[in-house]
Amino acid sequence: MLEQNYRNMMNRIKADDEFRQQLLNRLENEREKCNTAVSRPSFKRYIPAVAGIAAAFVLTLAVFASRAFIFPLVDDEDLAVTHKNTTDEDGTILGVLDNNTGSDLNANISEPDVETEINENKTVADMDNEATGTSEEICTNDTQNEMTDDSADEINAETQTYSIVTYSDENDVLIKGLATAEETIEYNTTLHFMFEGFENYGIGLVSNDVVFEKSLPLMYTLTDFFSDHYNTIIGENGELEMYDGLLDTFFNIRANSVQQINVYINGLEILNLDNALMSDFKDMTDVYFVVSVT
Amino acid sequence: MSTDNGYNSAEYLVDKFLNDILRLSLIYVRNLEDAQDISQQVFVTYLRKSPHFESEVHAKNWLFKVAVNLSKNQLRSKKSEINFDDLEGVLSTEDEVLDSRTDCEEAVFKAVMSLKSIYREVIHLYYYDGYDTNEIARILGLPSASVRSRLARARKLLEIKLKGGESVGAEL
Repeated sequence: MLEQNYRNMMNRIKADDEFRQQLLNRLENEREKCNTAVSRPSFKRYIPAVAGIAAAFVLTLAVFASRAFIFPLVDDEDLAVTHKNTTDEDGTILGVLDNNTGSDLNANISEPDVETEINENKTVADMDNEATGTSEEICTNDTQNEMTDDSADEINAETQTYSIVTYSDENDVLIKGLATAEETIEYNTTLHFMFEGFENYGIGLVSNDVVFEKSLPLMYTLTDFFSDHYNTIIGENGELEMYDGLLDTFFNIRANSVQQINVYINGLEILNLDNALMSDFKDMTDVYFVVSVT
Repeated sequence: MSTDNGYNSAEYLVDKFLNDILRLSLIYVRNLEDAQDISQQVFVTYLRKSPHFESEVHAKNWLFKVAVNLSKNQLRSKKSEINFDDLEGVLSTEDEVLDSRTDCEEAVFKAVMSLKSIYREVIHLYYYDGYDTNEIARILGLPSASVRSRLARARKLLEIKLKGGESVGAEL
């Protein structure tokens, strides 16, 4: 209902014909500008001038470098630099000459402003990076800005939603029907659980991260997993006095309860938990579940 | 005009995605004028960058990323105050059918627009544009878990607002 209402309202927002035509005209102008830029003289004709400036820069740099590295090897007396000021007729200092090199110590050497070519050979990844080149920075900054705008309570609420619970064979007493003789698979995976809709039934579940280190039968299904381990999934190691009965109704999938959960893994809904094996995740380091009820 | 056909043609992309870009920008800046400016800038950026798209989906995702970046730049440079009067101007039309929005629809819309931008963007991309959480994560440059977390939080906030726990004008 929420989704449909939101869609209906958003569908009313459209660009009118005038704005659309305005945009197309602007794009046409931009295209003409781009075409004009392409027809300008090529960068290559500027190479001689750029090379000359670069050579002068390198030479000056070498002169200064030689004073730092070579002259210390010479007698200190020879290093005495006498500055001779050049002045005009009324005594105003026009510059300071270094007697040894004859160069004007006040000269400013700046890098040439070199025009760069547009690289037209872009990969898809490059283009995506261009579109998103600053997105990570922006996203990071935006997140930071949003966080600083949040009240302290909001920030605390965000950091309290996850808890890490390590679960291993030692604590398990709930597995039913586990055949010890058959082939088993070792799991070492972190399972991340988020819950939706339980609050409508008065059940407050928070997101839970479970480090799952267990050996399970080869054909152990998600039905088995949710039925056997829901206390761990919801983050409770002992019995739940208040909600146990109702949660059992949701999670005891083997019992074909009327009210049951919908499970999404990495965004995709698993329609039949009987056909999904835990072994599908055995090589994954993280698996993200959204468990919802309607 | 470009001689390219399909999703590598500016005209095609404008025709196909302008409304989506406008709506996405509006989610961030919450006023029509800025949303229109951003929408224009998205397509100008497309012309200047001249990307080559492998598919229509690729084109849409690329345009959306640009729209998100430009919108966030706008938000940083100018804090946008929500202006429901301006949105009223956007939503009302002379068409009696389109203007017959229900109170419910308007309440939902205003509730979404009153959320913080980090919640508005995931709500819009998920419920309106139909992206899954992994696709939203790629567009926004976030971990998928963050997207899911924000979606869950946004739903909770909307529920509170729509059940009367919070004023629609308040921003959390």
